[in-house]
Amino acid sequence: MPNLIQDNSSSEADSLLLSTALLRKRMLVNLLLQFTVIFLVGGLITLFIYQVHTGLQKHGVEFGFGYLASPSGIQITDGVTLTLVEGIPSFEAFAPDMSNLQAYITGLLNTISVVVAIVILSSALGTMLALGRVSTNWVMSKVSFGIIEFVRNTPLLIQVTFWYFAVILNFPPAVIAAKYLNGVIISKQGVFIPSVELNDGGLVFGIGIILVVALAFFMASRLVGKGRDRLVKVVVLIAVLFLVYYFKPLTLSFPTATRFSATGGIHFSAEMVALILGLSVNACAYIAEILRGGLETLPKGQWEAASSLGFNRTKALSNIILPQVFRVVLPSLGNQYISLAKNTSISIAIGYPDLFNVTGTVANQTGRTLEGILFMIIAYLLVSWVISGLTSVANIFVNKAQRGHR
Amino acid sequence: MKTSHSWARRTLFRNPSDASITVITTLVCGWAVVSLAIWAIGAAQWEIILDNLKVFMVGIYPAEELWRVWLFLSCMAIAASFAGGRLFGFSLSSGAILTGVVVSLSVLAICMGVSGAKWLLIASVFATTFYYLGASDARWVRAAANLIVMLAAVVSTYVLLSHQVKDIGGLLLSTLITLATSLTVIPLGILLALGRQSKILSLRVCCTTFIETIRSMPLILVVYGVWISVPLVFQGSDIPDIYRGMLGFVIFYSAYSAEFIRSGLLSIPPSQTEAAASLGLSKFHIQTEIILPQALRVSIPSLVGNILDVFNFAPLIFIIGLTEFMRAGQIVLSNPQYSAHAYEVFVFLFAVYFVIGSCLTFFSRRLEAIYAKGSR
Repeated sequence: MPNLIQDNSSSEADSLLLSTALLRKRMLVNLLLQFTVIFLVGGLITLFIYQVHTGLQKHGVEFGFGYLASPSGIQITDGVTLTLVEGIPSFEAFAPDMSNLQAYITGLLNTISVVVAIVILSSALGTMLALGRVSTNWVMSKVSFGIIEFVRNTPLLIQVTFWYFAVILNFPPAVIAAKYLNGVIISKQGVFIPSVELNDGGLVFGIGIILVVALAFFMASRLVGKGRDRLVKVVVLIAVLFLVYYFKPLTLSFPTATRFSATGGIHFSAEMVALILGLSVNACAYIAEILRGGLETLPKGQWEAASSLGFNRTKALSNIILPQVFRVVLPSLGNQYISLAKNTSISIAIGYPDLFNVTGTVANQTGRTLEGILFMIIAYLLVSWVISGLTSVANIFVNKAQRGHR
Repeated sequence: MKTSHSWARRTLFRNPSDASITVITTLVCGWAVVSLAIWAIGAAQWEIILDNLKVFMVGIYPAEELWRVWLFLSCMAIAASFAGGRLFGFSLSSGAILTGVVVSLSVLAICMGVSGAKWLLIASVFATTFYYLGASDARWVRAAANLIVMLAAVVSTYVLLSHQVKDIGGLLLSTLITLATSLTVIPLGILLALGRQSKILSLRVCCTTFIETIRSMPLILVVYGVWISVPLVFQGSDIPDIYRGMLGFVIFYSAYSAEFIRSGLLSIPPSQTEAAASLGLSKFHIQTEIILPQALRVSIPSLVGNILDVFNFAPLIFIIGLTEFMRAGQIVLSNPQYSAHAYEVFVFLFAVYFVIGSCLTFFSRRLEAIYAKGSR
């Protein structure tokens, strides 16, 4: 018996010894693998850089970012850039004597503004399409299904070119279009809407009116009973309209058609309108599918509970179903927003000066293609990170709200 | 009669607002469809499509070399129907439908006077045969047919690519890009996905960085960047644009397929690995025999959906100056003789893309259903 115990303990010690040896060997192998991978990847990257460097030298080009400060000499039809006016950063329309860096910034700002417009428009359209898809109305549901399938099964590029060449460019010219709608011109040359401008002394009146309104709302929320506050709000709104009409702190500047285009108001170029329309219609189909997925995962009991509480279908949707669906689908929506932000780069096909297009033009002028590509990689990475960051912030926000209600 | 009446009550005319939606939507859609049909039959001049059919299909590829394209397409059709037979199994009706469709298509092509339509007829006969061979129960029949299909695919690809690659354009170019990309990204995606899950930290970091960087870049930028840097890296070699473009597509979509495959890998419970290890399988065999077959089963539907994505983004190859199907349409329209007929060209492009896209979507959904059934 003691022999057996002896035997056992020795085998335990053996196994311990064995396992440390095994562990040591495994660690060694692991370390070796780590270094092999680092060596291989590092070697590949070095080789790549070396080859690109010698290749560029053959063409007599030196890699560097010195060209960013020199004047670009290119024309950009849309958008603004950052300039320093007496040390204060301000936005200004791009001019050919501005630097290449400012041209890049114009492109980036154009991309961002288009992305913001598309996110808003496609979310609204996508929600409508998703509601149509799950509607009890057979015609509505089938039509929405048809639109979604058609958009998802055809290329984005042909959709955007179709919107530009076959729809927007077939609009009437501004001179004729100005006669159809009062104040808004939807034409070949783009869309013109009235702009709002401050009058002389408008700032003082404007701040005064805002203060009055804030005071009125504050008093209403404190003094008037709960049921009446809607009435008070309506009264305040009428009063504000009257004040604005009487003191005129703001003026609307209407666009007026000229011979070839229009002046005044806010101008969205035809390319921008086509890009926003095409990408929004494309993205809204994907967003509708995401929302439909969310709607279908929601338990049916939610609908039944809502209807047993006396909510009709519309009220149940807007108050109970949709808030929960948006919470569930937020991460997929974020991915969709990132992909639509990347898709704005196809605007080069219709000539809208976004980041990709402007960088291409600058590269044509200066021959600095690789630097431009590097700039774009960083810019698109940042845009993606900002969108995914915003999505996660929104996610935390809505989930906190959910926890708070429990 | 009564059931249809109650169906209409329930789904079309639930309440006044519902009824008005029904009426307005029907009227608008009906008007759109009718006016499109009137235009398509009356005003539209479809001759410009027929006149430029070669430009749409193969671009500026020389006419006397078209037999290479026909050979390639025939072999691909045979391979596809063989795969279809293997996947969906023997069913007399679907085989008959397949035969009917391809034979009627080739008869239509012969009637329209498409050059080389006889290839289509021969290919359809062979494709049907191979569909039944693929569905056959005998193992040796399937193995032999598999070998023949592989050989035919390789030989026909070589025949096509060995001559005047730079002239390939049109729908053929889209198809080639889609095929090459969707086939090569699967092994690359597997490697990247495994690398991202690897125990070796440096490998994991490298794979994750690659995947996440590529995924946050637009395709057009990747294709353009690769196209620019390939001649710098491989100095002195004259690689045709089509391969440089394909490389960009492969690099871009390998990151996406890696994520699809990784989601498949994550769906396999770790107990599978442990069970396989306790049976004494080596690490390599655990992955290839146990984990990957199960993971791929989960990710195949999304990988097939990825093919549709590649096909839908193939037009972006215009950025490196290649004449893809859509670009061919624009080139036709740039001819002043045809420039007044933009709508005909757009309708044709949309129709072709929509038909192909719908087929791919349908196929992906069928696969999903089949695999969902298998895993139960």
